[in-house]
Amino acid sequence: MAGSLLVSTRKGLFVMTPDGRIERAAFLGEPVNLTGIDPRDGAWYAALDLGHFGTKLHRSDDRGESWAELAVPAYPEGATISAGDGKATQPATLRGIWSLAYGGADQPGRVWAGTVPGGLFRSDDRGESWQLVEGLWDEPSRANWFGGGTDAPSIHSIVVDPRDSKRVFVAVSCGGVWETVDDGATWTVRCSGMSAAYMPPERRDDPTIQDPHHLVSCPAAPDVMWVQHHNGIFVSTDAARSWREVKAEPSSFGFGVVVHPRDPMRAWFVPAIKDERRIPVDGALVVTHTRDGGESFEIQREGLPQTHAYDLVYRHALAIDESGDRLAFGSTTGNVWVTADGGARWQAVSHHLPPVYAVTYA
Amino acid sequence: MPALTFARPIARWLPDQDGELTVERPAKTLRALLEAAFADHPTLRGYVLDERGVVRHHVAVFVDGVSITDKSDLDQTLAPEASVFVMQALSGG
Repeated sequence: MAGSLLVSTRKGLFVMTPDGRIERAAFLGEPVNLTGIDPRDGAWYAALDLGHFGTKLHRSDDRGESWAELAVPAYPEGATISAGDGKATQPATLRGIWSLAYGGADQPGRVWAGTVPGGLFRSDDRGESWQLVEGLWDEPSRANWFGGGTDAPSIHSIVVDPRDSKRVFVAVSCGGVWETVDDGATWTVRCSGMSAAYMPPERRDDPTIQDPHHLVSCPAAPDVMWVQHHNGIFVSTDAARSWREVKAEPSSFGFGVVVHPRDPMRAWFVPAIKDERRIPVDGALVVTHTRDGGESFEIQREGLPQTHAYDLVYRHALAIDESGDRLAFGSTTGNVWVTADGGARWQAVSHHLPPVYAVTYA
Repeated sequence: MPALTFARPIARWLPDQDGELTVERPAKTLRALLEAAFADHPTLRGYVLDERGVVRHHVAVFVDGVSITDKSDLDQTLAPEASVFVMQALSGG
């Protein structure tokens, strides 16, 4: 069974064929906020947010037939949550796993986990145990970070350089884009060119309060990176050393971004009107696609509802497969669409799933 | 004199207000400046403060680019040319 589509929702994980037929469900009734696939060993990881009972992590080594609960990241005694927007300082406790990434072939067992409230953790035993990455946690500017989408800061994007496993990028809402080249020991903020219109004027260019909603890089050309930011779309061609804003119509506001696996100039977005009105422009759901690094965008509408659509697509709910032809996205209204031709034609495969938190190809 | 700016996501709840709203008043404290702004725009009080007069959990107040750290203490003194910025904490989806 190759090419499954994993749809993480508020009430379970649904395993679909690429064309959208549900083959299996797991964790029915429970909130699954993220599912990840380790490309090295094929393991599936599912992050659950059980509300009353906290964040949980499960792994399947048989493509979802069975699952085993793992340890979850734990904040050390005395750790506190930063509060750059004036929220009271609180003890840091795990509130959610918002990103998962995997080391290179030279780091077997390495899994990275980005969490709310802002800690990055690493495991070297396939999630059986976790260590806080203190180099980032102890970064003084973390005191500037604040929540975006969650009450406290979230590390929602982790990009491991496929050429060098010790070089890792993370993106934080709201705390900017950060790079390590020494496997997490030291970190440098990489937001040159980004600007945050939501901040007071004297803070808008502060790199440590930027709100990148999602960060991705092109697997075949990792120096090209894309960010869907709270205030627009940014692209870098120099591995995040500098960022350039590009404009899409009908809107540059959104959460998710995917890049073609081999053509770094091609990226897709699902826009909403703007930050304080998170619904599609004119009630017409569209995908925007650039083939030229953001110089121009085409608007994909074929197969998507064009009247009274109020779907919002979260940052992890837009996915592209290894071929670059198949994409999928799911919405807060429980709809899922897929395409087999890069978005020229989209097809709805479900209209009545629970709210979709994340989709990914396995 | 001190100026208070309500960011667009807050100011938009005023009828006919397009974009952010700035109010200038010769206020000595943050509380006095907020009260002066609320006197002009009473609708905004309930968007910024809760019923106990505390800055709402998802509202942030910056004075000269620095966030206040105690949302129940609005008595801090303002510099003569202070710039106060009231914004929504980024949340939701």
